[in-house]
Amino acid sequence: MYKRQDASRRRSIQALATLNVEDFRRMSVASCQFTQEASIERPLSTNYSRPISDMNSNEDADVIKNNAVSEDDTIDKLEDFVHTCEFEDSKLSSWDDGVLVDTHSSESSVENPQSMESRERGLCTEFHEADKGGLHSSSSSPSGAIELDDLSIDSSNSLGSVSVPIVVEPPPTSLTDVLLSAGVIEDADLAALDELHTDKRLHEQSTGDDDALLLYYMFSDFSTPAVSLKSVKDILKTEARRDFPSLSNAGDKESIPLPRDVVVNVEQKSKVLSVILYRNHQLLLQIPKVFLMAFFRLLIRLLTNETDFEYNERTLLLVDWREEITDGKASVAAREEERNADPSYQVRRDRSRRTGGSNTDGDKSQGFLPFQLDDENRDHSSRKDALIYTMVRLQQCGTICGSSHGNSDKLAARKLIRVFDVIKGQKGYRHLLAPVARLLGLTCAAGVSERVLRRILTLASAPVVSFSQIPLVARLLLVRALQIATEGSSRSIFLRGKTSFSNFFSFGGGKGLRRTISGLSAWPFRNDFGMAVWFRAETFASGNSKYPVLLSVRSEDGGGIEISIMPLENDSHAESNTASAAVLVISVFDSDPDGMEEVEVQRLRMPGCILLPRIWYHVAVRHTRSRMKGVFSLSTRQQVLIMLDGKMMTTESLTFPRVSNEDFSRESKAAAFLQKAVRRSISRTGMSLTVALGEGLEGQTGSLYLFHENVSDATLRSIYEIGSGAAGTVVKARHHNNRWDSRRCDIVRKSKLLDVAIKKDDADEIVVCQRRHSNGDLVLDWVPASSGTLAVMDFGEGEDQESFELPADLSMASFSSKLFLVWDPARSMAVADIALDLHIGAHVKMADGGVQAWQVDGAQDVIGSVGGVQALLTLFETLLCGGVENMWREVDADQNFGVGGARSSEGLWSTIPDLISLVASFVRDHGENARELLRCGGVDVIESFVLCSRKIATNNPSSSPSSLFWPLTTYPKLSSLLIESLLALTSAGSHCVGLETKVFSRLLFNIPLWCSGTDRCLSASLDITLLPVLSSIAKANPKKVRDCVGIKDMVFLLKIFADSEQGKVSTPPFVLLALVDTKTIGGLINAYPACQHTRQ
Amino acid sequence: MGERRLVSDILLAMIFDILASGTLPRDMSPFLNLLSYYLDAEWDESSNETEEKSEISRTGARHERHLISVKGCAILVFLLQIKPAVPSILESFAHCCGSVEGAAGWILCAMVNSFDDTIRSLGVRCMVAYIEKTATSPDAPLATGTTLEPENTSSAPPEGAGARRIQSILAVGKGLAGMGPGVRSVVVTPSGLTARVAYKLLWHLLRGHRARIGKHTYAALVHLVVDNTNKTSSLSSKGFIRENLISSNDRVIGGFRINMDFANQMLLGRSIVSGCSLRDGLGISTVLRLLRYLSTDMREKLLCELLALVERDTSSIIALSGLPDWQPCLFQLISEAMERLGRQNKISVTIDGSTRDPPSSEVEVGISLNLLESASTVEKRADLCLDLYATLLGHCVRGGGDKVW
Repeated sequence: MYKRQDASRRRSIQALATLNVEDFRRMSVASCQFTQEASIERPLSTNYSRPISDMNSNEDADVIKNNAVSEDDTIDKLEDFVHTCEFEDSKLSSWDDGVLVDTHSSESSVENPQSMESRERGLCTEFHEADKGGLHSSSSSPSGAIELDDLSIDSSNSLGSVSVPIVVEPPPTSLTDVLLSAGVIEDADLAALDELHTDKRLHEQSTGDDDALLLYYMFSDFSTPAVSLKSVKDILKTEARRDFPSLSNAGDKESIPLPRDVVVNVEQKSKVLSVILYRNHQLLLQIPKVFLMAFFRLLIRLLTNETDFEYNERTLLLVDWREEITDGKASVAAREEERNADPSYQVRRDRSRRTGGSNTDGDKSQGFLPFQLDDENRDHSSRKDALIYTMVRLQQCGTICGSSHGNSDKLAARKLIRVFDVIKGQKGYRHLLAPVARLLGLTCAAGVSERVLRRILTLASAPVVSFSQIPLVARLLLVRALQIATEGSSRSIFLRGKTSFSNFFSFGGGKGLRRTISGLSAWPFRNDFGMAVWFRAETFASGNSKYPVLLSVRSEDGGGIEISIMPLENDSHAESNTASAAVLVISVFDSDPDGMEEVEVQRLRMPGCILLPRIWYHVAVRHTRSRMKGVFSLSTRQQVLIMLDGKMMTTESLTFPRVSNEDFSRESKAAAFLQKAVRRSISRTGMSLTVALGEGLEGQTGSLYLFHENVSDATLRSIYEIGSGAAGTVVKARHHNNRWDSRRCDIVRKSKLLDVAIKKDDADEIVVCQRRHSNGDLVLDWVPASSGTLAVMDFGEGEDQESFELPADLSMASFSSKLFLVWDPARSMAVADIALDLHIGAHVKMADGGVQAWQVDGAQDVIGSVGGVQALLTLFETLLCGGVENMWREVDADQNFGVGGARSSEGLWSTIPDLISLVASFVRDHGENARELLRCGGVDVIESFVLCSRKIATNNPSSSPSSLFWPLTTYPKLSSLLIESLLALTSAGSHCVGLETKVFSRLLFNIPLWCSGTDRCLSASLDITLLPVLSSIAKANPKKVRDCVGIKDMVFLLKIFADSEQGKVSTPPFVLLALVDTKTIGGLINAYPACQHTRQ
Repeated sequence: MGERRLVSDILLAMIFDILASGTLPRDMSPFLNLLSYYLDAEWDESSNETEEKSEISRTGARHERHLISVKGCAILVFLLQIKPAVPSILESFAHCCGSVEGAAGWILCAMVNSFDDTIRSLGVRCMVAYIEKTATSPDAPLATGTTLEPENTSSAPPEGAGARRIQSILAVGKGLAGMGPGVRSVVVTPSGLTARVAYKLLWHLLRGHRARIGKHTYAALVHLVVDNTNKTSSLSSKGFIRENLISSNDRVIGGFRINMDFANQMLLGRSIVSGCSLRDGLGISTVLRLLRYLSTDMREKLLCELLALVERDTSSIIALSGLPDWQPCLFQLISEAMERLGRQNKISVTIDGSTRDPPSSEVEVGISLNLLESASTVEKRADLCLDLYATLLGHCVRGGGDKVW
């Protein structure tokens, strides 16, 4: 039976690989028909799948509608199918070999059709039957084959015909069994868990809690430092009780301590990632709720360094908006007093002041590092810099454990959006929405694909037809996820880290990038050696015998140079096995003719160059030897110059390595005969050297530039400046001291800032230019053996124009590069997992050394491919006035999402500030998006939708909020949040004068829009909060306010406030006529009904 | 109520900040409209009330409107007092009121002609500041902008003067076009209103409200006589006024609000201090002619101030004695005082002698005591007037000339 199924599956795979789009449509229809028949044949099976037309019950129809797949769904299902086939195929191939390696009983999966395997097998069977039905593509040409990533299916045809089987499964008997059956844990892990049960040391922290032990075990190898069992148990208890404290009665003391600034381990398969990246969503749905929520809380808190309160607020949307701001301040002040009374805190604070940093509350056992910032000083943005690299490592880890095929970067985001898509309409799993959405946002901070971004926007801005389809909370969660993703990957985040790399290599502590280059006629670095690279170390592991090697260039017999990072021994932390600082070390090795041992002839340690973890550094080394030996001196002058971040740190003597026979022969005439013999042998066989980058390094590097000629300081400094933040930055408006140039009023719509970003690829050109201006003194003394390598830089197409009439500067030789090798993460082939070198063809395979080239495709850039920044405007329409006023009753009735006693609707109150912040995150430091938003009139659209929300609020003056605008004017906390978002949007558009002016006048200073005015149903809370901010702005820059806004609206509001005690507002006609203009007419009509009569 | 007042103060602070940075007609217009509306409404309500009762009581929204009116008028006064002048404020003011004399007329009608002492005092100060900036001489028409010197027809025009004139006319035309519509009528059209006429109108209005002149108007009259914010003083600088008139809210609320304590300190009663210089003659003449209509206390206080001023500073004597109105005004005051003294003496002789029966009732005793008290006051006032008159006359006699006679 298994062999028959195996054969059918293999046929299915082959059929799938050769199907074209048309076949696919027919196949989906056929699968529906088949599943209908199958359901009739197996009436007792709970695995059902019926077309929508057969549904009689509305509930069933809703279920199917919720799971009606779109184009992306179809693609994901196909991917799952391929995974399933691969998975099953691998298992059955083992079966064919006669070795039963799979722990699952195949019979049980057949006998128990409710299980996950049976569901996938059912899907396989569907396709198999479709295959049998003659749905093979008649053409097996490559052009007709389906590429999964590029598949485009007419959704109008596929949406109604493809149905997804819903598996209603009984709760699993044991969580361990579920994880075991899913392959998250294996038999060896069970044995390790048994050991944990008997571990006396752990029993002191926790006793007899299997779930806690399991969760602890899953996270034990996830990060360094690892989480403690006690914390895991406490988190499980918290999730079980579900009574989350608020800020007023809980501070940091209430937060369960977790390690801070953890380093995600990428070397081994992570059980945590296995849960998330499991091939379908069923695993997440089978795990018990408490365990899963604790799992997500642990994971997100470890990734973001958040406290419990911050997690509750940002992830679970548990914010008490009714809380007075003053109470919050009082509680913070009270906490500060308590802290000041704590002597240990004082000691830590004093120490941090001395060292220039600030300490955290975390102790050494939790990865205390002196450069960590205090919680009060660390906002979310300051953590994002480290967050993006953490998320890259997380997804790098996912690559190892989650996928077998090469094109798997950003896989986690795709998986998570699929999970979100599935659970969004199922009330039983709505508790998963918040953590999944948050994790999706965090994941997308490391780069988002066009498909995921489009899916997020589609889900969030889908027309509001039914609440059960895509709940409002889910939409808000997606908005927040998108905001996190955008802010996390925005360019300004990179600037904070001294570099603007959007491409980098991520190293997991393995062998790194390693390539042996053979066929060289001589040691290329005989007289000159140079290198330049950006690097960032996550941690400096201490205690090992071998410390991280940044760059190693060694010959086959050991000669060469090595630049490594040596942790400071006195500053290591035994428990976390890390050092908080390191220094740079340059070692020179001579060749050992026997090749038996390393001959380190000199080691140069640089105690003045202290390197800290999680900070980008640019290291440039130039090792030169004078060629004037015998002319001005009897000895050669061998010097090394080290530059750190573009500044020359030291110049010291350093001998050149004696590599192979050549250098030995120079100093030993007695070996002349031997030299000739060896030279002959080398010229015959060729010389080889090994270049290794980032061996043992836990961190990231930028492009590696390796020079075999003397390069100037200016060149090295140029390479530093290219990556130091100049590239990719948006030129800020040149107004200092906050001065306003009145001429800007006239050029508001004409402003265009030129993008003066220097492309990183210009580095090669800089080097070439250096060469071009060198007057031909520095002639290449090394010509690669392979002529093809030189052609890359020599513009080979001009060879036929080479003639003797050309001046020497224009000859082909003068265009040759000083670069020996460049490994650029931007020049990598993700599919083949290879980093390309265009100079000598020394391509290197990345996966061998646990390296991954990562490209941060920020949402700011990607949104241009899905319709531009104006695609965000539909979110305003959907969430603010797309029939949302009729859904509050349903929102309040839904108690599945509301936790901790909070109503569901309260989590939505921050929608308007969140939407404005989302737009701000997309235009911040991104000139193209800012110009696009200005061009499409996005600010006007936003104003009109907010005005629409206000009208909804004023037209339905009732006790319960009918609009998202009402809470903004009622609760000071929300008012402050709104003002922060408005200020953020104004600040984000500061690089585009037109946009900033428009936001300033139409949103921030739009008094009729925000202030309560004559609307008695609106509270004056927003007025009290907003107007002081506006007065500060007016005092700081009155000319700007005068030019952009004027005083008309202020006078009008003054009039309203003065007359508000009377029963009616008696505004004189001349005042009205003076105030009514095109700008504020909408707000005035809404605020003052008499205006309508006046206009009529 | 507190929140509303806070919001009003914040809005007024923003309005002042914006207007002080440079005023445009589109900003000035709604502000003046608001003030006009409130002052007119207040005039209507007060005029109805004053017929029935003497004191005005404001409650509720009317009180709030009155507060906003006072603060708004104070803002206008400070805007006009700022030196150097706020860019385009005079042009904008005149544009909103139709013409230069229209602006002066608005000040007189809306602010000076008010039943409220504070508003009236602010109107006087506003008028002083406005005339100071628009009048070049007492009999020259009020005008905004640069005043052109009268052309010297006797001297022959230099070479190329025609071309330069054409260029300057073109430049002026371009500038006027750039200032927008309505400027032509404001700047180019000569005004028929002179400073002398404006002060006479002011005098008439103050005389009409003589019964309601309080401490604020008195302080404004002192301000009319002396200038304690001369050109070198930093009290009228924009930075000083912005820094003090706009104060920060408390920490919880944040932001800025208008500080009326500073405004009251600046605008309320202030005695003549040393170092102050006398203003131009029109203002002093107005005050001297108004002296006889003031209440006794105010008259005495003002005479004391003037006497102290002339005794302290010779330049003040020169300035005062140079006025054409000082002698008749003081002579009238002295004659009135002497007449009253003579009448008082008759009454006192009658009371002291036995020609008349002793007062039969308590009312008569009270009247007699009041008369005796006022007699001392009249004596004091007569002494003050005589001292001031003697000082000025002595200065004239010492100076000699025809004016003495």
